Amino acid sequence: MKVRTLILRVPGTNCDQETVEAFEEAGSHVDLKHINSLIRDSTRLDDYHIFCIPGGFSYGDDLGAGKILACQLKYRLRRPIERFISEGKIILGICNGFQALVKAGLLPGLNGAFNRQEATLALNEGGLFVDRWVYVRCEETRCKPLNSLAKTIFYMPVNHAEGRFIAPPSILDVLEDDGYIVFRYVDPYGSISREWNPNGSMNNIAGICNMDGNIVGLMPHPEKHIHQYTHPSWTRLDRMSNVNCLRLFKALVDYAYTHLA
Amino acid sequence: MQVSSKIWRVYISYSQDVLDPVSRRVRWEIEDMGVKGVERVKVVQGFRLSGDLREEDVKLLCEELLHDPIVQEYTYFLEGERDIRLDGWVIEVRYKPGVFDSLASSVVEASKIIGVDKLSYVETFTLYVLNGCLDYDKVELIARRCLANPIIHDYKIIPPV
Repeated sequence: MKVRTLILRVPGTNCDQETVEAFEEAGSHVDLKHINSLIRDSTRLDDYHIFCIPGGFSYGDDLGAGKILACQLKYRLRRPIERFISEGKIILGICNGFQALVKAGLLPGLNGAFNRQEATLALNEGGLFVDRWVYVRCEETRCKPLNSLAKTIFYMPVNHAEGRFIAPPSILDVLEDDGYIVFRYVDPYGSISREWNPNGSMNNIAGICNMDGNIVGLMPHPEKHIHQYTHPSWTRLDRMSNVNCLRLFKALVDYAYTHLA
Repeated sequence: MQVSSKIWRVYISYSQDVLDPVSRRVRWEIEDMGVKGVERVKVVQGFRLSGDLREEDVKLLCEELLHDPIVQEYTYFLEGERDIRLDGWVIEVRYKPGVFDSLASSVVEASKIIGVDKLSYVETFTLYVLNGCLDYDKVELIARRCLANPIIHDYKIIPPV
């Protein structure tokens, strides 16, 4: 059975086509659906193994990035999402999708899904939108689908104004000690460095997962570097800089194929 | 709780212990335009909420929509019954009548998602609270040249008590 992925589209989503292509290249069947059709018939979510919320500026990000989308997930799609999670299926949030998952209380979800918001993605330290390429190291964590990529350094763009990961000290300690931090901003050699942190995130955190490791979110955009020639300087970059991110999508699809399909 | 059709005023700002990059940037901008004496800037996002709202509706709006519980704090009060005095020179910047306020429109639409059906109208404004060695002329210059766009904004200056 082929792995089936649902990509969610809402007003303001703008990375949906790249995300569709990334999952298709990774070997999944992909459907792109508007949130209203999912709200009308929420049982549609049951047909999928992976649910991905792509990047963009959902609902204009007027009330804070991903805030209104988080309310939609929490108030109008709560039951189908809870069912989806309890079956061990995978949810991926990229950039705005990550912001929505965090603000809906799905990530890190230490006290259960949708319970309360435990962390945030605040305005970048510099107060400005950042648009650049970053090195991101995948960590060995409780996110089993991505553990095969531990220590891999990816190169991908960040495009956001609100990406500064902040959590209260008690939450941050749990995230660090219990393996919730899936991605960190690093230098080209894989070392954690403040200069290579694009937004001032605590502990260089770029992405986290939930307790069961089946919900994962990250601020950078892996879907924008699934072919090495999508980097504007690809002919001049060294080999390591050109590790593209298709592997990340393949790891998710392969895990879903082995464990869910 | 009694239902009221009065106007609720909500203030949202970054918590004291969290870096507020917008306030810091505004202070830098003021310095860049050559105005000396501003020691501290605090930016507060304000909302005026109209409709048959109970206090619990306003609290729900603040908790679920208007503020980020990790880095921001909120306060609300009924206009005319109470006022929150902000410590320093306050510049209130708001859209001129007739200018579309997308933030206000989003609040009205999003309130329905969380089950607050009686919110009928929202106005938004920004308060810039300035501390330092300032006088009216300096504050007026800051408001006119740095904080308000004269095509779309009106501003009001409230001196410290």
